[in-house]
Amino acid sequence: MQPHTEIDSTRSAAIALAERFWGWEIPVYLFLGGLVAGLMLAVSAAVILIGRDRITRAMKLGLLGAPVLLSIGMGALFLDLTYKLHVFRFYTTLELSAPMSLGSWVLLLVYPVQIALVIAMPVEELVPWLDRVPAIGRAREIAAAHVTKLAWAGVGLGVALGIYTGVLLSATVARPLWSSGALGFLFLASGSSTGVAALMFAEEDHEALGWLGRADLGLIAFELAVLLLWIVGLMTQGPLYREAAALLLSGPWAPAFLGMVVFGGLIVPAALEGLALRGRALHSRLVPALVIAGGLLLRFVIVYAGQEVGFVAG
Amino acid sequence: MRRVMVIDARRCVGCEACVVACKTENHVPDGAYRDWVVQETRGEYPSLELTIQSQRCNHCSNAPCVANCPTGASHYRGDGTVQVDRDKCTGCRACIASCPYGARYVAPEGHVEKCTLCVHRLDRGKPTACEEVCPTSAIATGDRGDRGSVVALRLRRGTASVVTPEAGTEPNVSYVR
Repeated sequence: MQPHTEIDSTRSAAIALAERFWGWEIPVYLFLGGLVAGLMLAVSAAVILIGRDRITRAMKLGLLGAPVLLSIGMGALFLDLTYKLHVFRFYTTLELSAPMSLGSWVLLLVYPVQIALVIAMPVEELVPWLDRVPAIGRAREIAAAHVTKLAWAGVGLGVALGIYTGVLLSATVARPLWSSGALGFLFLASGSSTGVAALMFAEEDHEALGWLGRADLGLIAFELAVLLLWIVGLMTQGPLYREAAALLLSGPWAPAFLGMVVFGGLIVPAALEGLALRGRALHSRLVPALVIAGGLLLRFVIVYAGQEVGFVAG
Repeated sequence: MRRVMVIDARRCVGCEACVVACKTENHVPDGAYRDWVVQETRGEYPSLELTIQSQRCNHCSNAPCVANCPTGASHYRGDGTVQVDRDKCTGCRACIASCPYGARYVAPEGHVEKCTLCVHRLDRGKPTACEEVCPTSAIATGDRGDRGSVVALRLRRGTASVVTPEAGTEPNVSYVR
């Protein structure tokens, strides 16, 4: 039995009153980063696997939306900075040990590849606009000639961006809930499944909806497996890690995590999609809506709950 | 030179003079602390044990705040201490997320601050503000490599421990008993 311990500190009152150091901006940024990674990965993989000629309008819209969503995410990150005038400092150095620095540079690489993919495979309405500028027309020809190479770059950068959103948290030593290498793969799986879900939301081609549904089912299964691995990893470490896991399993975050993320955001949409793929139900936009909402909530739960358990006792 | 702080926990009476001196010396804002005193009582009455520690940034040799700082604002100084360059700080708070000791806070101006080990005083040959006011001389700062220094002597003679060793950060603030 542990001896009874009482801790009093100069800063006990300050700790009790302290707010979270990361608010809504970080989970929104991590969610949008993952979603964009998923969109890039899904469309790039489709280009490689089925060829650019079978890329659907929804996929082209996904490509077009990706840089916009990424910019909104980066806007949220900018809002989070408490010393905003120094934002340029991210790009005056490359700190190899800091995931946030590596991620900043990855984001700079992501934009040109996304734009090249957009102009290589634009939605029809965009074509007249692009052709008005001769330089863009030439760029389109070059991008279209190298679309497979661009797709491979999209796969690589999508994986890097998706993993980065999780590694950003797991690299911090001080938060037991985040202290797991599984988090990078969890966020990659979640980002990929939300990216595919976003495409399903806009997809009208029945055949493509079938591929996307099967891909999303696989990604959800992978995400559930990594979630289990992460929780088991925490439960088998020290007492502080078990305390962190308990926040999600039986503590104040359990209803949101188990009920809305795991059940409502993964198991229910997987079951509905499974029925739709077997022809026992119609493809419904409810499935991607649940996956996307679950992905957003997953980031909020992990970022918020992670800040509630640390090593500091006083 | 490897600057370290060694605190003799047997001498500390928990008067919090170190906290007040630090706040005054470094203009620490309301609600924030660069050092603080933790009193831990263990056991069941009448068999009780009281530990008092004046805690602060541990100026770790393997500092996660330095590793995770995206701009190099958190860095190691030549003497081994961990410092924050406010001109490089963006206020992203990755360092706050990374510090197992909760030693950092956001200044009203937006950058992150923490204990500097009063290097502005040490460089002028003066002791840290907390060390100067400590009425029982519990706090000592010095070069670990100097065998004749108080810190080296305390580390040789006492049983040294650090806060939260399981974090693996290799703290340079030790407590001897």
